[in-house]
Amino acid sequence: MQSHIRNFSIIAHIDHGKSTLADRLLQFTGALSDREMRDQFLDKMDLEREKGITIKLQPVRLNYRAADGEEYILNLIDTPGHVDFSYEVSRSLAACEGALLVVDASQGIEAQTLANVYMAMDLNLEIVGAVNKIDLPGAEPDRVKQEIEDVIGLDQNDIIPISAKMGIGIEDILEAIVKFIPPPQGDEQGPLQALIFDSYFDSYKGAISYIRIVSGQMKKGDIIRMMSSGKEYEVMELGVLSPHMQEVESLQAGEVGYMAAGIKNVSDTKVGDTITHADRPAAQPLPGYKEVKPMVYCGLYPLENNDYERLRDALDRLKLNDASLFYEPETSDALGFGFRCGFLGLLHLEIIRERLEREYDLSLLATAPSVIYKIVLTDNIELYVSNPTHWPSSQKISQVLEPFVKASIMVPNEYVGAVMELCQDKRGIFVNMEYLSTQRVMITYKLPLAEILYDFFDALKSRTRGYASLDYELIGYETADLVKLDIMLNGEIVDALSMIVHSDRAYYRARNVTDKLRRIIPRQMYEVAIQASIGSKIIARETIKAMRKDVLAKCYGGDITRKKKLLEKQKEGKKRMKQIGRVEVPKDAFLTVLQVSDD
Amino acid sequence: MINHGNYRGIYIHIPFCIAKCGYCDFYSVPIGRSMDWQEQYLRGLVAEMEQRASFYDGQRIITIYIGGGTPSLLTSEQIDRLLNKLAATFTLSSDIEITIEANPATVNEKYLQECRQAGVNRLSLGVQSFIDRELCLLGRLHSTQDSKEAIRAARAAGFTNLNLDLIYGIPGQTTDDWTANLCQAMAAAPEHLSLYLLQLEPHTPMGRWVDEGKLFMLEEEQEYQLYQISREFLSHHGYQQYEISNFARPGKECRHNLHYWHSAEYIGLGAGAVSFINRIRQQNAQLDSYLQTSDDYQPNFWQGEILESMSERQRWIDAVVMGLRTTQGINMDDFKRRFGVDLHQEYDQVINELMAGGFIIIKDGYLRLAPSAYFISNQVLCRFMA
Repeated sequence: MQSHIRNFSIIAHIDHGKSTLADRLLQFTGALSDREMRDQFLDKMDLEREKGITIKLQPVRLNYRAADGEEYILNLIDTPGHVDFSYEVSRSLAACEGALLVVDASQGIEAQTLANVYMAMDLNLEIVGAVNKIDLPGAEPDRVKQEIEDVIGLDQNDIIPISAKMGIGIEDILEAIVKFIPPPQGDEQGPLQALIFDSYFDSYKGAISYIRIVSGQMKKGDIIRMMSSGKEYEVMELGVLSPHMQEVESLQAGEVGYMAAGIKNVSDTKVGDTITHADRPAAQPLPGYKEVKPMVYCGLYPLENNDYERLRDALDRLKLNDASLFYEPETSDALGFGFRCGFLGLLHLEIIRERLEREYDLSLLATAPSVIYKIVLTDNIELYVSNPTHWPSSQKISQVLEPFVKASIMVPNEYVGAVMELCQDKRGIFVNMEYLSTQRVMITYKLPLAEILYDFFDALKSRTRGYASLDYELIGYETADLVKLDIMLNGEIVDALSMIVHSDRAYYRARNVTDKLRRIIPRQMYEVAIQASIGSKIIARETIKAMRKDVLAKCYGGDITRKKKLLEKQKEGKKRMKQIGRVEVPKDAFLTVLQVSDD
Repeated sequence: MINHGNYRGIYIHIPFCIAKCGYCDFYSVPIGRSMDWQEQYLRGLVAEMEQRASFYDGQRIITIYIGGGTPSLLTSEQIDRLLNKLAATFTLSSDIEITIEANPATVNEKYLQECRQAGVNRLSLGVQSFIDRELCLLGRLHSTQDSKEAIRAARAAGFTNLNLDLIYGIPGQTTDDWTANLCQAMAAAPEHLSLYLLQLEPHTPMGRWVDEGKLFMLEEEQEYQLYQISREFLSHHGYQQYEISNFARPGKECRHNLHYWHSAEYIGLGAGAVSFINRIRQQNAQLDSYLQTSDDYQPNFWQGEILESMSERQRWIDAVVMGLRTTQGINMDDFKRRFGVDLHQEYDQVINELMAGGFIIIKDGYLRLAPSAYFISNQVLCRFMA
């Protein structure tokens, strides 16, 4: 049985055609009829299709009759390609014996791809290489094959040229999967060990887990035990995804499928946990995953105060399918009740926010994203702070440390100067530069995570005309000269606008923010002073003069209805303002101010 | 003092002009010098009055205002007929105020004398400016000379209650220009002055010029200065400001205007005129319903669109936002008697905030705008909206 199973992932950079290839595999193996087919089939969320990226992996089972005449079951576990979601990649890789590496024939290997390939190699996965988009005019499959050989060590003669879009080389891929990727070799008779590599919540069936049976077998009606918690459940439903859910009676060692056991809470089906039988438990759980820790935090506040409960419900729901999402209630003087939320990265943040707004019809206000700073107080107590509001006063601080990353940037050699300039600009420390081929260079820098979080990626793309790719990993905390910048309106600190900045940049940021606020905040009945301060020291100031004219000169019998409507509209307009002290601030002011576009 | 709530006003709309001014947003139709429409239109007005008579409740009329358009395009004989018909249809108060608006280019001493004899006792002249360049920009047909002659004629005809309309904030207008205008007005010693900030609607010709960048409005700051100059100047010359844009010698406040600002009921006659009765504001039908060739008027031919039908709450809010336009403000005891609403209670927080900011004043039982808030009154008024 297991000899006819192949479990594999696809590793590819965003836009290198992974989802299109997955679509072709589905079509070629007849898993989907042409009528059912739509682009990016495995990307279930609208957002994924819109952004052309994969966020959430979704396994699929393909039945394939190979050239040797045998029927094989190929389990494809799709992976996300963005650095924010490398955690999800590791989850899907752990459930496989092999990985299909897809590289764009004109772009070459990207930093993120490389990181994921290394991760796959660490897990002893067999790598099958393919260069995609060979039909495009700029394609250089031979150069890219050479690059793959140089960098990763695959024999370039084994690398398959394909065009997922045109359907070229699909069969070759399927054959290579069968031929090169080893079949699973779990003990079919041994005690059950099933790895949960993802789970989500279904309102009818409860928590549904995607599982890989590593050893033993699981049958409907089995009493199972979660090895981390010891909690026991009865298996209500087992099945495979082909790609639609299809019930089966049992799953054997080596197989991939889904399981429902009437579990009310997704947190009871922890991703990375091992499922075993209650009556015949395995001695050891499978190696799990590291708990993911959020890297970026921001406050999310409903624009309408009475939406707070709805926001909480929506976060609860999203959390069911997204273990990496963190949130806890927080209160802001300026914004009222909201949540402090933690994310894997900025894309993750953006996606969650968009999902909250789109799927739950909420209007949200997000405060400036922040990393977690480590602060050593004068009495040697250590603090971790991710919300500028909780920043201690400077007298109490003995040392501030911020998270640093090792950033690997791959770029054609003509952009080396531009990339280094950008990294220096972002307080980067040069580590290494390595020629991967005559034209491609890998540059390594140590950079503060906070700098990467803001506009680094966009700046990198624009300075290299989109050719650079970025990967980074956290390497720990280093001391930094950071200060808290407060923004005041008429002398009152607007807590939601406080930010942590490097002291060299404080004046620049202060000027930038006060100037933006001056342009966004409309004239009021009073003069408004906008000040930026560090501690008690004011370092920038702008003034909005008091409004002079807002009057209806004429208001007589025939006109009264219309004039009242104007006043009503004006009153409605005030609802789109946030009252901070006596100052009315347009709600989108926060967003505009926090956009770090022109740094 | 008159309790407007117990009385009615009548507004008669004469929706014709020789030509339309570039800033005008009122309902009027340019007809050139043609005089064919008048009799036809009057027949319509008479028919409307006859039909309305059946549901008139007999409440006394204390003010009649003939506005436009250009009412002075009617002959004095036609005005006489119109007023006679009004008197025959409605119960007019013995001390009724009867105002007619006039374009200075359309009147002479004889005409005005005849109007007075017909019963008109207040004249409102659309002078707009005493500077020909400004008149030209506004698209007015009359000259400064016409205005001076009309003022002389009005006095000679015996009008002792004269209003001049002036516009400020005209593109290019300096503080000197405006002060000169005010000085010229003083020469006429009018009993009443309406000073209107030029505010353009986008669909007017001047509004379009501004949108297209062909004409530049004054800066907010300059407009504010002109307003302050007016207030000081007129106060110095013995005029009292009684509303955001209106000034009068003591006792010469326009009763018709006050009627509106007291949120009192009125009947609007004529094409496009608005009536306010029983919490409903309703606009009359447009001109084609009035200019019928036969005298066979259908029942309710004059009726048009309902603009608003108010709840009790909306009704008294109407009274608040209108009342606050007057410098005297709202007598809160009267208000409570009239609407059963305690403003202190209803607007507790709003009133406290606005008082703290110095934008409203409560004194001697009156709630009123602080003078410093007149020119930003929308900011205050909108806080009192539903």
